[in-house]
Amino acid sequence: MTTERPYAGLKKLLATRRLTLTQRKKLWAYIFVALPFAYFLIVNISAMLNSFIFSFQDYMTISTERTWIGLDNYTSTLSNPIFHQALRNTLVFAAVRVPVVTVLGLGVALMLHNIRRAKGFFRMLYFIPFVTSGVAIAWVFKFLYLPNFGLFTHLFDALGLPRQYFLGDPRTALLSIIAVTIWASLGYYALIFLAGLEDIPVEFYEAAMVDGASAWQRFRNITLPLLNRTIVLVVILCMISSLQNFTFVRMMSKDGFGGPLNSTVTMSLLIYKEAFFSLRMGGASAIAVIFFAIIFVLTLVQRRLLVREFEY
Amino acid sequence: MRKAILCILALLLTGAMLVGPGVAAQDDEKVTIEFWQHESGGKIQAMASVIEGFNELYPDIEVIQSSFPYEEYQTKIAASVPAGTGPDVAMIYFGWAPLWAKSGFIAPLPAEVQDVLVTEFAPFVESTKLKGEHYAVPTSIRNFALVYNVNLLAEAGWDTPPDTWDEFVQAAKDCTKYDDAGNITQAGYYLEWGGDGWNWWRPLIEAYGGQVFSEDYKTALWNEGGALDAWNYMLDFTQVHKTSIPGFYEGELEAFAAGLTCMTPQLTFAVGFLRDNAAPEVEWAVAVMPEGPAGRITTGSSWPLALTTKALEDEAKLDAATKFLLYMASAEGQERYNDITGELPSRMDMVELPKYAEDPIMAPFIAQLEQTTGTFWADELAERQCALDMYDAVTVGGMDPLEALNMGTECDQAVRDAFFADW
Repeated sequence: MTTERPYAGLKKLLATRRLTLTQRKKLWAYIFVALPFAYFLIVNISAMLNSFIFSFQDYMTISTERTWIGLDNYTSTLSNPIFHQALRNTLVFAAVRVPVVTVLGLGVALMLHNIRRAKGFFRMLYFIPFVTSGVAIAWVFKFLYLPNFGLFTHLFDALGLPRQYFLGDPRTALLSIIAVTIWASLGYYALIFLAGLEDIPVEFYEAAMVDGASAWQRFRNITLPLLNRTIVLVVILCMISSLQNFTFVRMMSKDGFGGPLNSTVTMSLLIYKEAFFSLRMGGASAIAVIFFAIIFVLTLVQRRLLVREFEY
Repeated sequence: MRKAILCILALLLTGAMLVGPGVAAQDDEKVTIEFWQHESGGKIQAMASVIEGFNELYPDIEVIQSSFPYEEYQTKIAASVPAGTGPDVAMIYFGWAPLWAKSGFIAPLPAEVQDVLVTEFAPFVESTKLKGEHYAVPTSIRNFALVYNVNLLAEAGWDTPPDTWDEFVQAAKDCTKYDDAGNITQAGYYLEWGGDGWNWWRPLIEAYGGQVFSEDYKTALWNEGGALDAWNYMLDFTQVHKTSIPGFYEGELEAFAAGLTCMTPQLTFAVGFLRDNAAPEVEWAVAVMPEGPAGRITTGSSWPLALTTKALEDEAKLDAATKFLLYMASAEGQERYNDITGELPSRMDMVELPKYAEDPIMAPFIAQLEQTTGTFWADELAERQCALDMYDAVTVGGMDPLEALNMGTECDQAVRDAFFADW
């Protein structure tokens, strides 16, 4: 007795249709792509469309009643000072984190690329923070940042610097959180750069050295141009993750909702707070739609500005 | 042999056919209700014990208990509403009751349950009463009492805990220690405003003769009369007396448990935490809250059970949910719950039970049940934010205290206006 595979019928059907081998291969490819696409459509796209619809409704999160209110959620969102603060903080978050992560990530990748011994060990060392739970990292850093007993306070004391209230001071709170997210994700971006560096043919460097190019000239004229696509990828990924950052601001901000004085409130946190704690799903959806539009535009602009084609 | 086996099988089949309908009929008669709560402390075990006791009385009602992490609780409820699923009875934070009632998620309690609350429970239950109706049955009550470190206070010259708010300040000053650079190494009292500080500031307003809100809950009175004294009193710990700095430690209770602070007003909930987590050298005791010019007043909170509007759609479920809530409000239900969580029941006839009244730790909490007020929250999260911002505006933003208080009062008033505008 033979056991028939579940897709045997489909296979038979395709065989009787007199398709060429290439056509059959393509058809199979489409069938395989269709499944995740259907999942994406149902889970992601339908949620986005629902959110878009909610943004025009007066909808309390735990209520069954919804009424159409036109653009009211958008006008109240745009006139809300906390929304402006959240937008500003989110942009600052990205504006600080993206260049620092890109430069440091590339620097770390160059070092890892050039070392000869214990390569795997050092790569693992930089990658460990990325695979560690963000919640755990946030809690550890909250204690390191304690203004009276924290490690950083002791370091400041040792250096003769004035004590800081890191997460409790509106001037330093956001930067303190950004610093942790940079530390936590550096290894991940360094790894992407490393993959890019290993794709550059060694012959280019050898030829340049024969021509007497200095290390800086080799970096400037070979490494940077040929890493352009990797840099664009890192910048876009880092920008999106910065704009969407939630875990660290939720866990580290004073009171958990973007304090003190809304200095750490970000768009993701504001959407979450509005939807599930203030129970204003309509308002939260309006913020989400505006935020989606911002990320979309920024990504397009970045691609247009950063992508360069180099032929050697 | 084969015939014998066939006979046995036939008999078994006949028996099953006779018994089967009976069993099916019993299942048909069984009413199932869904009960939801968030995971915290011993709540799951405590409610399992309540359900067990309830099923001894009502074996024909099945209560399905579902628990979710606190962070996900509101998300799960939000997802259940459009799906038409979700709980018939839900444990909620008492401060959520007004907003949840306004959204139509929870319903007024059945009249027979409300009658029990009115006649048997501590006055605190008034805080979840909306438009003359009760919406929630307390599982326990958490009120404030003064927790103190016996040895640290004695070292500072205080053999007994402070009895008035003036004495509290003096004791806090006497008990605070600094290093050579002037940094606090031991806080007489560490005020964490966003933790418990802002919670006991509200009864302090009343202890100073002020009012937190107007009688109809519609007006915030944070910047009037005694409320001004209470505000300055709280600010002075960091601004004048220097017994505390913001962010001294991660949590007031945690700082106390580590032996870094001498006194801390704490809710009943803290008892279990300190029994499990206080450092061995921390010898702690509990006293009633200090007295102010207008009396000794404390406040409380609770995680009560509420009836959802979903339960109203089915008469049998509503009847079962009513019985369940009545059981929760009974002495037996309260005792089963609080024996496991280590908290206090809120039925007044139970507080004189020796196991509560003669316990030196619990007795000060019980002694204040009559003076325990609750707060009616129009939108607890938004109102908390107003209070947090006004405190931060002074302590880290450098704003004038009165200006900040006015800003906070206006902020809270806007929340209340929005709440009452369409309800």
